[in-house]
Amino acid sequence: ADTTLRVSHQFPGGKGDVRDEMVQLMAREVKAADVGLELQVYPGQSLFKAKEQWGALVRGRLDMTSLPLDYASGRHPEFSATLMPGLVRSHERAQRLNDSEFMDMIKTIINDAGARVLADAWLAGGFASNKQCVTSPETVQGQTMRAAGPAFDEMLATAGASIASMPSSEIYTAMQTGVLDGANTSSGSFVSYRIYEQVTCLTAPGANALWFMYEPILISEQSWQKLDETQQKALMAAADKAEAYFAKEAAGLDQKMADVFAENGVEVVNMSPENYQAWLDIAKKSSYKTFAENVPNGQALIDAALSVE
Amino acid sequence: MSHSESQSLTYSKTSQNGVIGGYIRLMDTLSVATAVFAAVLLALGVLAVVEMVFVRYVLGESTVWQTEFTTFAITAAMLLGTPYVLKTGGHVAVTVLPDALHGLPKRIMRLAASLVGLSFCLALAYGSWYYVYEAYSMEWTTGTVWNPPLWPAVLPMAVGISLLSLQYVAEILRGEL
Amino acid sequence: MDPVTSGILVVVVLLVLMAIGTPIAFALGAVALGALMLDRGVGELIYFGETFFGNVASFGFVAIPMFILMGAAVASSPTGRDLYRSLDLWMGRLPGGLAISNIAACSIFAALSGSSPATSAAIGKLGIPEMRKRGYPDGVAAGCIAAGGTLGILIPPSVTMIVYGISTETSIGRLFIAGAMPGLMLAGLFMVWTLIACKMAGGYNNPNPVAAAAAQIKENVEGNMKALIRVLPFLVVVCGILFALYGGVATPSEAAGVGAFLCLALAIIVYRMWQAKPIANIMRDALRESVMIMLIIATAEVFAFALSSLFITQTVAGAIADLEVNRWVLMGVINLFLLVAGFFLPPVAVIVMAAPILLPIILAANFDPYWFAVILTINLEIGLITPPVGLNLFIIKGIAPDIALRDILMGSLPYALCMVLAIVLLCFFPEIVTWLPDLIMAS
Ligand code: NA
Ligand code: NA
Repeated sequence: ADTTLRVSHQFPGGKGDVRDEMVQLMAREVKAADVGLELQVYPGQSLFKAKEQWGALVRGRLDMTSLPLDYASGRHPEFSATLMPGLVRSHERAQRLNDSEFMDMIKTIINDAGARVLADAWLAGGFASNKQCVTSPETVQGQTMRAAGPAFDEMLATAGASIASMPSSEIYTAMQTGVLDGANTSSGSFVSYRIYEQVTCLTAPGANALWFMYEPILISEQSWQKLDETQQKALMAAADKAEAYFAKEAAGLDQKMADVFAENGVEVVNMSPENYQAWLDIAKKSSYKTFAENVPNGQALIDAALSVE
Repeated sequence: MSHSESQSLTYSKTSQNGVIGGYIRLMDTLSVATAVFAAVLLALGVLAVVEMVFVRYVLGESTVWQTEFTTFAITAAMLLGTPYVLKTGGHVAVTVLPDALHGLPKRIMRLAASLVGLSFCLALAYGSWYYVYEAYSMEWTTGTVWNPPLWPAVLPMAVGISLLSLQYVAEILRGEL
Repeated sequence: MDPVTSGILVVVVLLVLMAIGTPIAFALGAVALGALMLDRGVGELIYFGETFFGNVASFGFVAIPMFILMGAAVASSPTGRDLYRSLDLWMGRLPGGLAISNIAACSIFAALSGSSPATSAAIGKLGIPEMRKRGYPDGVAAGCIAAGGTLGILIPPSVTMIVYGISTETSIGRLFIAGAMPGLMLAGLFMVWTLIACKMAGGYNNPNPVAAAAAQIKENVEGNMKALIRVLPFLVVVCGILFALYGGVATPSEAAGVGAFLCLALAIIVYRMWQAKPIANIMRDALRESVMIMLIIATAEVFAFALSSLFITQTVAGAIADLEVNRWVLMGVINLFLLVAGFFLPPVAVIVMAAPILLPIILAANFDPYWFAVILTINLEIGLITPPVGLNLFIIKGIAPDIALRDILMGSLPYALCMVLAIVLLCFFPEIVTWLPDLIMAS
């Protein structure tokens, strides 16, 4: 009989979101391989809620997911390192990071928890503001910002920004009215939430991207063990294709964001190397420090990431 | 909801003596006490939002803990309030069919409905305690900027649904005696 | 088991459990758990607490108890009485005026409260005895309060619009405004029918001697004016809160929290309710209603999870999408489905379970999601005044236990037809829904 794996993610389905496309590509490839394996995709939180996916995955209640790993940092604080300011910088470096000791340490934690990585994916993101372009740290002073995770929140607060915590679905309304002056999220989300309607300036990732997030495709170890060898091989082959597809698309995603914002009359800027370094100095004093203090092994993780060329 | 206030009156006349009566009275007291606590939590949740609005909009400063605190306080209030609402007949049910019956068939139907409800409550209570145990023993946090431990947020659910189960037993006893 | 078979099985078991009198929340939860355990194994039991908690603990949903608390601060304080008295002053002397002013009172109270049963209860407690005293037919007295109360979820704020907004990721502020004009239109239709019904029943008012009535007016005018003045601050607060929400200055949960706080504070100041008891009553009423609703939302969420887990949701949505019928035929089928679902289930449960299935279909057929929210809400309002589960009918029965259920139902039925008429009107003139949001929120 055929084996069906349930794949869940939080992104819009069938609308060209690159994370959905990765999963759909795998589903097509696995089906074409004809090894008695089928992927059933549940997009847009239609099965598990975004933050419940990790717990379900490691218990084998969910077979596969495309997950922002930081969502599981409540259970594995080490995962915060995968949404840490300035730890990645560019898509090229993200590729090198994938095969580094840093990712080995992260993947060991993933494996020990009961899951394994099928495909790596690092998404870049930027800043948008309707007050002032976010470049150097001084530019956020007095702005109310919404960041994507604790590490970014802390860095921005240290730089003098005011932080408002709210679900991402409320960013648009909050910007519309001045509750928020600026926001910080992934290129894909900036476009799909139509934030370009509310801002005057976008800081695109460019060569000095402060914001990167790890969103791998994961499989539950229990589900993996239930597959026979040919199925495992077919799934891995599909995952490799998905990973290659993503690597090709990732930079395009940033370009698409810059284009859409520019078309809508938004000024698009990049951070200079000096800006980037200034942010990194602040992050080291704030988020990195907190991470190193509160997470066992935290300093080692940061050192391992920074040591990648 | 007020449609059930008449029901609570009919309940109060069954003041049994002995162990069962004592159990029913104990549960009634516990449920009321939990409801008072739930009301306090609801009020605290509201106050936290007011504080957040003040800090964010008037003082223009950052807010860290309020959103999460409000979510957990009010969720806790809702789950801790369930036994009281059961006691006062506030959980909406369709009673057209049982009301049309008399005698034994009516009693059997009522008992069957109660047992379904009780099974659900027991299952949820079990699952809730397991979740509390996991969150506590594995030191899970909420993974946010505030990042408090998770178990105190889940504990009210376990307590509330456990009391709901015990109150359900009391309601079954009250109805059968 | 294939999704179609398991879908039918799940629905049948749910209906049986509800028919024997299992509270709806527990019936939903029990069926969901049973289905999950049969499909996925006993392990689901261990993780049921996590599943349940994940579905209920969200900052969006907590707006609901706070909006209910805001309504309770008004309903359980003498505000309802004052509102009622001042409207009676203005309209009570018109032909059929008392019934009309009851609907007006429901509409105004609907703007103070997010819930339909609460609206029916607040106005009905005063309105039904008063109307019967003055010789209105029992059916009209019961029907206009039951129906008028349903406006609670159409005229903003609205508990069900919050649930719709969360389930479909649409703007709750925009949903609220979208309900305002249709709410007023529906109130107008209710008033027209009330006049007709009174006329058919052979008169509106008890034949009070005009002189006596005039004397009564003089005596009451002063008190009634004061009553009106006492109500005004509440209306100001709630309007301010809603404008902050529509303007997008505040998120729904912020608006609800501040609104609840201010209304509670006003109730204490205006009515000098320093003692613990009246405040405890407000908290008790708010807790009872919000616990009932939130438990249904939570179990409906778990039920929806079970449907999705069994691939029933996706199969049904796919089947409807593949129908390839005319979009208005599709809309007709969806309306029929909502109407039937509304007969059996409270509005929040229907929205949690159906909205995620229906919204993609609605969007694909090129309907406006905010317009559809209003259509859906009116369908569910009909369900509030029809058996077997009609939350407003329970309220009326509680207020006036001596009115026969038959009279309540017959009195309510024409109002349900008014709602069907409203749906038809909105299909022909969708601008009634979209005009105001476009005007206010255009950017
Ligand atoms: Na309302
Ligand atoms: Na109904």
